[in-house]
Amino acid sequence: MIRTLDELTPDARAAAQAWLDQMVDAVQPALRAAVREDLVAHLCERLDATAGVPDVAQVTLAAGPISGGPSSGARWTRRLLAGWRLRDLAGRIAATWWNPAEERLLVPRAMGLGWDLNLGAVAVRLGVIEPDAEAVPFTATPARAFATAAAVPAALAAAAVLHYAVRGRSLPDRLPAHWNAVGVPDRWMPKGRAAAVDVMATVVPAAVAGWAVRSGRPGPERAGLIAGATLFASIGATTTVARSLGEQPRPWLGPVLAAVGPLAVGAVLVGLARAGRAEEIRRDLEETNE
Amino acid sequence: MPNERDAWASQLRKGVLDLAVLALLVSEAKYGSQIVDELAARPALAISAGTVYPLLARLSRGGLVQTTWQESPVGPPRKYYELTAVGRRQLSAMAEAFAEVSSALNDLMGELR
Repeated sequence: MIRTLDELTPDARAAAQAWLDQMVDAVQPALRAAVREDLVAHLCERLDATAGVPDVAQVTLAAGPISGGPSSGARWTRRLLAGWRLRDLAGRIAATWWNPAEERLLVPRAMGLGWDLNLGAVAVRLGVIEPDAEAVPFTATPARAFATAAAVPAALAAAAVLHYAVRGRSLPDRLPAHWNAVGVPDRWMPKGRAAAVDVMATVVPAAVAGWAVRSGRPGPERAGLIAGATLFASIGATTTVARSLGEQPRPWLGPVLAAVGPLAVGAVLVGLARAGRAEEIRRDLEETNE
Repeated sequence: MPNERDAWASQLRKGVLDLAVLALLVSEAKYGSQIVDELAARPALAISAGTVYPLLARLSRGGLVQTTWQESPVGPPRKYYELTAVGRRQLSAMAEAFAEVSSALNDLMGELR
């Protein structure tokens, strides 16, 4: 470390000055003096009096170009790509759908673009949980609570399977595949295919939730997996019911299909978070009593 | 220019929020909504619960405060926050730095008064 560039050898000083001139040239005139001062400090910190031209070059190369950060285009690309990262997706989903410390009800999605409902903020507003019940949600949630939560998608899967096993024969040969805005079926599919789709749509999520329970993954990740599984399984189970309703218009079908997922996920996450809170309280109060 | 003043004051508040919360805990442990209310009672430091709770979580993860649930005389148990030894050290370091900045600024602004 040196205090001023004068301490450098003449060659090294000349190299440093040339770099400073070049860098400062790229900056708006009003900022040049301040930037130059910062860069001199940067050099002084990293060089000593014996530094040669190669040392100066090494420090100046490491400093990189001066700019106002990545262009807004690059920033947006990075932000878009960040939305599609797969790393710790389950944990990110849990942190997005359940963030009671955050007051906002709509928060940026864990995956892709757009906004998701922060069910944690909803729960706080309903007085179901404190914003700080757990510093990191689901870290104190005990294993048995995860097992109970995973029973929700499992029950939905069992219901769908039973429905087709018991009522399958009495259902018409073709079942609705799509409904219009007032809940009248406008596309159809063969019964066998509809049954296969609905069973898969509920059994696969139930299996994922079951795996999550036994996976030994961190609590937030398990909560995210079970919540995602519950969302898919509840949509699958509601579709199963909707297909068996026949051809009459059912204007409530759309809103019900849209509401069932968030309600089921909300119930599961409230249960898991309350279990985590109860576990923290039990631990703390037992310790105090000991 | 009330808006510019408010925006600047809000930036200033954000910068000292850690210090304010740690200082609130210096004499005794407090629970979340108590911390929010005590900050709200000082309009210059009033910050929404949505900012205070994530900050408390951060201080707790950083080992500056520790939390314990305690029975409440009214209603459900409450989560209390108290300073750890690290938190106390950090608080004195921050308070010292703040005092230096504040006294330097007071010096500079002496002519304004």
